[in-house]
Amino acid sequence: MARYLFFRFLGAMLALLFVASLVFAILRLTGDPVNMLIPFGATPEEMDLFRRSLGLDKPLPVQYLEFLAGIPTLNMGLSFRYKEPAMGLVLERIPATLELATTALAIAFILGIPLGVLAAVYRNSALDSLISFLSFLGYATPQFWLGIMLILIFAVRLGWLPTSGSGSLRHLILPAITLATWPLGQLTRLTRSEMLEVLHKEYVRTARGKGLSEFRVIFRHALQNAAIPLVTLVGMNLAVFLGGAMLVETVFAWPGMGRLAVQAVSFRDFPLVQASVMLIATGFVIINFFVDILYAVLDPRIELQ
Amino acid sequence: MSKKSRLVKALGVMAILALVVSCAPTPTPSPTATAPPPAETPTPPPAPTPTEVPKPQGTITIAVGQDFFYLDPHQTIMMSDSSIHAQVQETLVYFDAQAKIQPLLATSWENVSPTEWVFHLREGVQFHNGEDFNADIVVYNTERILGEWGQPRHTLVTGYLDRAEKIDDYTVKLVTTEPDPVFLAQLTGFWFVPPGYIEEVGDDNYAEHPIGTGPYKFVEWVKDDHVTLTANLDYWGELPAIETVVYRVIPEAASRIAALQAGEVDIIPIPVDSFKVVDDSPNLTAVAIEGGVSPWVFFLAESPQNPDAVALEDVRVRRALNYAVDVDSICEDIWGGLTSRLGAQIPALLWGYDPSIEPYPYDPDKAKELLAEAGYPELTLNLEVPIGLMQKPVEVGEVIANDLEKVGVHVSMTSVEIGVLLGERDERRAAPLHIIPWGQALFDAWDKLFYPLHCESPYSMWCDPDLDELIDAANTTMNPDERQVILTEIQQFVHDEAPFIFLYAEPFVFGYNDRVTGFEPRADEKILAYGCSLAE
Repeated sequence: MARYLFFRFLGAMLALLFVASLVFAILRLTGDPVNMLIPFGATPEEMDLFRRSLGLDKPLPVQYLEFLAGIPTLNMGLSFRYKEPAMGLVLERIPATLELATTALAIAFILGIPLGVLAAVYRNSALDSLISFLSFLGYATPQFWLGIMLILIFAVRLGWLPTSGSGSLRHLILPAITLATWPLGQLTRLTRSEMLEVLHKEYVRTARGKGLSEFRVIFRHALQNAAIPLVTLVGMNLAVFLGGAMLVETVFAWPGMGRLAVQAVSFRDFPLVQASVMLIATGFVIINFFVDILYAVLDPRIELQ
Repeated sequence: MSKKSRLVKALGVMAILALVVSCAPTPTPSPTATAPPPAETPTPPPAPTPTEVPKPQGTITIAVGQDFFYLDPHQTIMMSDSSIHAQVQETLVYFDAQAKIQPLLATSWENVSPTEWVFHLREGVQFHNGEDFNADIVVYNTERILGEWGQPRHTLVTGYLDRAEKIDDYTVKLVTTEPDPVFLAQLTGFWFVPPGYIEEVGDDNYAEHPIGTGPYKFVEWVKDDHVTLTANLDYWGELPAIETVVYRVIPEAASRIAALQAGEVDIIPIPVDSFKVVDDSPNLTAVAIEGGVSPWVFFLAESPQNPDAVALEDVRVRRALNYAVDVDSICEDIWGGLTSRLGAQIPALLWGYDPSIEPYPYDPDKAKELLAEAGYPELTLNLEVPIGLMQKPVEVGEVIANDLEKVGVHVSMTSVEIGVLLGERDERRAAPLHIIPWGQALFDAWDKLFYPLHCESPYSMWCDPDLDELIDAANTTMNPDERQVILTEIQQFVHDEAPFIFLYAEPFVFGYNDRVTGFEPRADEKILAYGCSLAE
């Protein structure tokens, strides 16, 4: 177990180093950020002054090493635009993104698993077809379009909910639903296929043979064994949403990390982009790590070969 | 079993509901039945006593596309911050919505020598914390903006300001480093802060709760969400009609429009395409103003992308390309008639614009004639259009490319991200035809002279010593009438030499709720609540 964890940890660190180097290189390949940060009319001397104040005149290897050195202490430098510590800006917005992401995943989980189970249990029935169709729909519908449609229907036409912004439960409903449809579709389908696989296993027949109620058979015995891939899915989605909720955050003016990251990119705000990417990557790695641990706990048969 | 069947039924109902709601034909908005007018009160209301001034009341919400950055006006380098500054702090002079200079904290002024200006200051003005406004304040602020703290803004905005000298409590002389014909325009971006307050809280913390002399006081700033202002009841001038103003951040245009339609916000900037949708909505009105951002198709004769680029050195070719593009149809079809073709490089809104300079007419035959005359009946030129900073680059680029094809110029168009295009431009390897939207900040021809056209400007693809002379003269002539003569000459010169394909000035479009009256669209990214009132 310890060896397993150690090697997983090492792998995670290497992945982070790779991501850090990649984002560093790509950002600097996109050209001079000063063009985007200063309005027209600055003389070349003024631009040089600005460049120096941002630390961009130092040789690349120096910038790279300073960047790497800052990561462990979360010091990603000052945002070019906001003039505040970049990591601080990103961290400030994590709660908002997490609020949205966890709500969306909760919706997906609470609806998706029962739907998937239903579809599996009533395989090939009209219900199964309906559920499968709906899950494809959720999977394939573009978030941007769905978000705006929901706003138009429920906020503008019906006036039941606010169009955008944050601050109350009512503000959370539409963005969470929009964000939930994709993982909901995924989770429903995955639950269905996992359950189908498991429902024919020996131990299910044994459980039925023992006279257990159908309900207990499905939820205690079958689902528990189907749980592992589902756990992975939810974990991955949570990590992805740290940055990947940016479309929903933008459409609904939700003050999260994804939106911040996108704006930082269009303004070439290197420290802010670097901070966002490193945070998302680290989040991803950590969550994956925990999912791996959970794996090992849920199924003692799993270990690193 | 029953649990499952209940679940099934519930799901079925939900599914059907969802389908019905989304597929139902959208009802056309019925003409809103106007509320019946309030019943006539039998007794007339008491006549207001002469000293009674209507108190500010109500709230309006303005939605903007991005959050504010620097609430310290000596630090900001973003034009979008100025909506807040223009209402919380004040300047000596300001631009009204028609881009004319008006007195504000200065009641009058004289340009006593090419580099010296004497301002007579308004008396009886106080900051929100009670400090008095006077010549000492102007001196203090000048030192602050010239010092390290004000460096970014000073460099970009008040660049020629050198020092301030107090003459008496309400008279101050400002001195520039060189003759600066647009000094007043620059001063519209020089806002005043109170020294006592800054000593108390420190430079760093001023922006946490900015204070000025303006008609509105700062209440709070929730980052990425909103800024709230409240009316300054001790304001020296006319009190604002509206008590509370909230600036909300809604980055996505469609969401902003939805918020406007739902009545959650009152004024928003909207994309040109949404003009009709907003204007046709009940209770909403759309309004546009031709702005100062002028995209030009730059010519780069040294472009390494096409060998034919050298053809651009021939003025006949450049004129031909201007004749070839039907800019009027771009203005009609893409911009809904909200803007018009430019004769030279200066948009109509800017000081110095001369309407007598006629734009090139659309004449593809003349274009072909000129191209043949110059020896280039066929040409292959790349066109790069920028993504970001320009509205509708691809649509406009496609019209240009098509029009040029018709006269024998084969154009292959690519979209390039603006930062990348600027980089290419700096290294002189952009396409021979590339569009860059050229902005402005001073409502004066100034911004369209040196940087785009002067030999010594790193951003200029053009070099002509005769034009340089004219530009230098325009930038140092203080007498407005003399300056106008030079500017007219420049525009004629530029029109004739055609260093670009002249297009149009981008329109700025706004939508607002009819409960707001008095809203004036501005071309400088400010959306001001001051001056608006609520219709009731």
